[in-house]
This record gives sequence, structure tokens and C-alpha cells, in this order.
Amino acid sequence: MLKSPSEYHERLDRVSILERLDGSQELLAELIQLFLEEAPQLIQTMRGALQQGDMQVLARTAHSMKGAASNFLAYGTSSAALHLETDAKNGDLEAARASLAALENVVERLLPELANLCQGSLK
Amino acid sequence: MKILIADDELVSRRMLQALLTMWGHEVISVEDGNAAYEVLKQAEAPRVGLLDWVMPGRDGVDVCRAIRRDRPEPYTFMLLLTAKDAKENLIEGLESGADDYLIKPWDPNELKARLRTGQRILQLEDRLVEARETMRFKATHDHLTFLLNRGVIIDLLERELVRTVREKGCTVVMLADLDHFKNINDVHGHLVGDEVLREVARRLLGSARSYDFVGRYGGEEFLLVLNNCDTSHALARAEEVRKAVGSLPIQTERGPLAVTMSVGVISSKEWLGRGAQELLCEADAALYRAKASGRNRSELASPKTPQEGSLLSLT
Repeated sequence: MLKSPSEYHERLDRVSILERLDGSQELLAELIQLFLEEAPQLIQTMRGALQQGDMQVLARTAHSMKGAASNFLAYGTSSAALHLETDAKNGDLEAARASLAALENVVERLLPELANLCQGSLK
Repeated sequence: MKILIADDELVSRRMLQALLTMWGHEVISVEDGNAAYEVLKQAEAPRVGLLDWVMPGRDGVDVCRAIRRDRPEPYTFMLLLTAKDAKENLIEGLESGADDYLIKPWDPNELKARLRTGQRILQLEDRLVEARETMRFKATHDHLTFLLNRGVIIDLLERELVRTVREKGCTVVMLADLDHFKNINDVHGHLVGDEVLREVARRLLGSARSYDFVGRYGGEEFLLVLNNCDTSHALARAEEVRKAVGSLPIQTERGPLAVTMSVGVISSKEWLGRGAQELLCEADAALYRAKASGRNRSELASPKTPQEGSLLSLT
């Protein structure tokens, strides 16, 4: 069921995201701002956890990333995060390393998309 | 509604908080399960909890389990938020005591609907508790005077006697009877008699301390159980109670009526090891002596006092 890391894409659906927020563009902007601050911290934590082989922290942080991204219906990112969470739970260090790289990759593409969305919502 | 949300992830927590606030709810938001548990078990806690399943420390399922165990009443409606979708997990969640769950990313309309369900369940629960409390009050109180009824006041006396022995304390019991009450009923009718009984009950409650028990023992007989009241004060307290009832006429629809009361008093310390029935029997004998020596007085039942036919007054 899990896609291979290279298959993750991120296409955001602004209308559906706003629908979840009762149409509040202001709230969308605030949440995006929070995510732009939080995501790099989560990535940092995951890198550190992977380095120390702390699979518990890695799984939990991947889980947080999955939840955070899912608020923007960013399914590519949440799938990648789920992939990593599963690897960490399985204690599979090699797979986790690859999954984290894939997750970082898709988050890197997600952040500018969100920033765009954010600017769009402030117009 | 006051709602608690617990989620360790910042964006999800803020989104939930913002939406619930927009929908008019009062929101308390915390970052982990331990904090959620602390909030939900407080006295004035929110009645609704939205709990993320996976949190550091206590997870959502643990919180549900702990709240169901430690705070059965009033009921808390708890909803688990989960990204998990494996069936056994959901069953585990619901068996922990959660009322329902939502799968992330949840649909706001679905959340609204679940909250309405929660509100209905809470309202139903409130109505049941209210009905139960009404029934409990009716089952334990006298319907005319609203004092404790005979069965309950005797149970409480028995319990107090056990406690007082264990704590080496002293319980004072007063058996009080209105003087010539039959005349009031005969002359003025039962409705006026009922008015008198209700006012006497009010005066008795007014003269008792908040931790004393006051019950209707029989028709115009009342039983007072005073915890931690020493033998040396027993008779003086009885006199205070007697005067509280009899010093002012009682206003009735037939005009003011002078009502007096006789009291038999007994102190558990003087009768160590005696049960409730024996004490009541001795208090009744003292009450009889108070009646025989002219009424409107208090008599102490003491093991040192001659029991039969004595007119010795202790007032």
C-alpha cells in the first residue's frame, strides 16, 4: 500500500483546505505560518533521532509530521511520514534512513506550495 | 460547551482550537495526556474531551481509561482523534471508555455532528442524575417536614455510634416531642398541625450545627444526632434546641400558636457499648420523665439517674 519514496508528489487543493476551516483565510494563514515554523524543527528532531538510533522518538515525530501535514490535506507528505513511522516502529534503520530522505524531499516541495497558498489567502 | 483538546502537535491543536472557538465553544487546550487527565478530573472540568490518540506520556486511550476509573461522575464525553485505521485499534479505543472516534484528517461537519451527539448524551445524563437525586431525596426525607426520615436517621445514628467508639468521641442523641400536639390537631385541624410541624422542623434545623443530623422520628417526635458533642454540654444543647422551638409562637393560618417541646437527652460516652436501640430506649425514658415533670423541659438519661418514676429534674 505504501508508495515508494520517489512517487510522493504534493498537490494542494486550496478549496478543500479552506472548506475544512469554515472558509477562514485568516486561520489558514496562521496554520501555514505555524507549519512553516514547526516542520523544520520536526525534521531536525527526526535527523537527530535517526543519528542516535532512537526509533521511538523517530516514530513519534514522524507521526506528528503526518498529523500536521494532513491538516492541509498534504497527502504526499503524510504518506511519506507514515512510511517513516512504520519503518521506525519496525526498527528498520536502513529503511528509515531512506524514508526520512524521501520525507525531507517532499516537505521541501511542500513548504513553498504552502507559502504560495498563504500569500494567496492573504490577497 | 466547555471542551478540552489534547494534541501534542501544534498545527492540529491550533486548528481544532480555532474551529471550536469559532463555533462558540470555550476551549482548554493542552499538549499531552497527563495534562488532559489533570484537567478532566478537576471539579469544574469540561464535560467534553477531544483526545489525540498518540501523545507522549499518557496517550488518548490511557486518558479515557483513567478518567472512566477516577471520575465516573459527572460523565465526560470523550472523542479520540486518530490516524490509525486498523480495526483492533479502534476496538481497543472504544473499550477504554472513549465514546467515539474521528479519523484524521477529520471532516469539520462530522466533528460538529459528533459534538451534538455528545451534547445529547450529556443532557440525557444530567436529566437522569437529576431524577435519581430527586428520588434519593424522597427516599431519605420525610415528605412533610423535609427532615431525614425515621429509617435514615436511625441508620445515621448507628453509623455515628460506631465512629464515635472508634474515635473515642461522644455522640449526643436528643429525642424531642411536641407538648400537647394532639390538641393542635383537634382544635385547629390537621393542616394547621402540619404547618406547626414544618415550622418546628425549620427551627430544629436552624438550631443544629451543619454536621448534626435532624430527623422526623414519628408523628410529632424528632430525633437529633449531634457528633462530637460532650456529655457536659448535652443538657445545655438540649435546652438551646428546646428554646429555639418554643420561645416564639408559631405563625399559622389560624394565628400565632404557642408550642413547647420536651426533650430526652442521652450521651453515648455515659453509655459506652450500648447500641442505637438501647440509647433510644433510654432517651425515650428520659423524655417520659420530662413529660411527667411538667413538660417544656429537657431530661438527661444518665446511668447514675434512677430509671423509674423519678421526678428529679436536671434543668
